Formats: sequence, C-alpha cells, structure tokens
Amino acid sequence: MLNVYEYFKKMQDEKVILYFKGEITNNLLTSILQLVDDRLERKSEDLKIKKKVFSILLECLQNIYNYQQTHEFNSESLQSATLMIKKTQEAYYIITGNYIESEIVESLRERLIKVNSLSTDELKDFYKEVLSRQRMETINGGAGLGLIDMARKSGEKIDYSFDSINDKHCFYSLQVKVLA
Amino acid sequence: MENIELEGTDRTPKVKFSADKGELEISGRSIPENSISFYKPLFDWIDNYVASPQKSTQVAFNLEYFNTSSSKCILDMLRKLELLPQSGYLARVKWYFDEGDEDMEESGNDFKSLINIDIELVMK
Repeated sequence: MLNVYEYFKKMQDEKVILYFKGEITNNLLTSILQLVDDRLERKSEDLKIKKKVFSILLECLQNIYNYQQTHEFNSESLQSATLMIKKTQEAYYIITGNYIESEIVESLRERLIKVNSLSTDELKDFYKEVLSRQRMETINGGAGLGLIDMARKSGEKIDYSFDSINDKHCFYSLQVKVLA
Repeated sequence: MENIELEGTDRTPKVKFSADKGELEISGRSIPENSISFYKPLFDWIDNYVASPQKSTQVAFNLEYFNTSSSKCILDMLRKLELLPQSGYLARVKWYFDEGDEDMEESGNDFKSLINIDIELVMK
C-alpha cells in the first residue's frame, strides 16, 4: 500500500495547508474558494492578508480554468492541474501547476519578466494602462490583468518555472507569496 | 423604465438600480469567470438611464471582492456614467472599503484616476 504517512509528513514538513490535484471544474472552483474562505476565517487572519490570499488564489484558478476552456487538450491527463497553499511563519504561498501549450511559453515568460521588473508604482500604472485599453471581447480567458493584479497584491516577485513535457506541452508552475 | 434588483450569489454581486430614485448600488462579490454575460444587462440599463436620468444620481460600489474580469466591467459602467456630469447632471459615486483593506482602497483610487466623475472613497 501507498505510504500515506510519508505523504502526510512531507506535506506537514513543507507547511502545506491545502493540496489539490485534478481537473479544475466550475463547481470545484466554488468549493475550493469556499473552503479557503472558511479556513482563513477560522484562523482569524488579518483581513488584509485574508483578502490578498483569496484574491490571488481566485485569479490563479480562474486563469487555469479559462485557459482550459479555450484550449481543447486531446488527452484528459493534460486537463489535470494542481493547487497548493503553504503557510509558514513568514508568509502564505499560493502555488499552482498546470499544462500549457509550449507555443505560449515565450509570451508568458515575457509577461512574467516584465511584471517582476516593475516597482509598486510602475505596476499600478501598468495595471491602469492595460485596464483602459483592454477590449471587452478579450477579457475572458486572457491573463492580461491577472498577473499584474497578483503582483500588485503580493508585493513580492512572482516565482515560476516551465517544465517541458514533450514537444507540444509544458508544465507551468507559479508561486505567489503574501507576507503574513 | 424598470428597476433592476438582483440577489447576490457566491460569485455575483447584489444589484439594486432604481431609475425613479436615481440610485445605483452594487455590493458583495463580483467574481464570475464570465463577467460580460453578467454585466451586459446592467450596461444596457445604464445606457437607457443616462438618456433620461434624474437630476441627481447616487452610485455606490460596496464590494467585498472583485476579479480582474469584473474590473473592466466596472470601468465601463463608470465610463457610461461619466456622461451624466458631461451633460450637466449631478452624479456622485461612493466607493466603500473596509478599514485596513488597502487593496480595495487602492482600486477605488485606480478608478478615480481613470474616470472624470466625482468618486468618493468611504471607509466602512
């Protein structure tokens, strides 16, 4: 049998407070957000931090959900994604991983590099600029504002990596930090 | 014209638009994946309202959360309401935020700097 204790202990050591793997469906999105909302409520976190964690998580999950709605992967296993929330003394970490098509890696990487290079004030201006010029038709499914919003709310650099799976697909990992 | 009254859900806000009183209020959570389908009827209502508005219009945004997909819709709603002061009508927008919620306060300031309408930030 699978050594459950080993898995459990690893998560415990890594300070994981929530772990999920599977397809992000609309119903699941509601459940996860509800769960996180309740959990943060119970722990009576500072309102500001609670709202940051919730908003960032929401953007991350809706990004994945919207991406999967617009990209028909021909294999079901590619629809699978992962979500983790870690809580250390210092910070919350919202971590996601999902498959993407390799051809979008470069443009996504450029966006991440750009967002990470901007100061607080520059991020604010960039957010407003993208918000003003964004057209209605493109607002669903485009991560245009999402990353900028996450970076603003986090106030920290966004960590990311791309693992090549085959010539068509990559696994995209994202970690956003919220100081506790 | 008819008023709009929508109950809030876990993803969509409570909406109360009253044409005869000139009062528009949006409160709660605005976090749908597809914000356009939710906001489209509200846009249409505002288009009709600004064509024959009350002398004075009071608008209130009292949101707990909104996603980036909703932020564009909020901006577009405000842009439609901008027509009121431009045509000589009185329009006041109140943007509520919880004490300590810097992000929601900041969002109010973002909209304020993008829109030519009187937006007052109100701490709850």
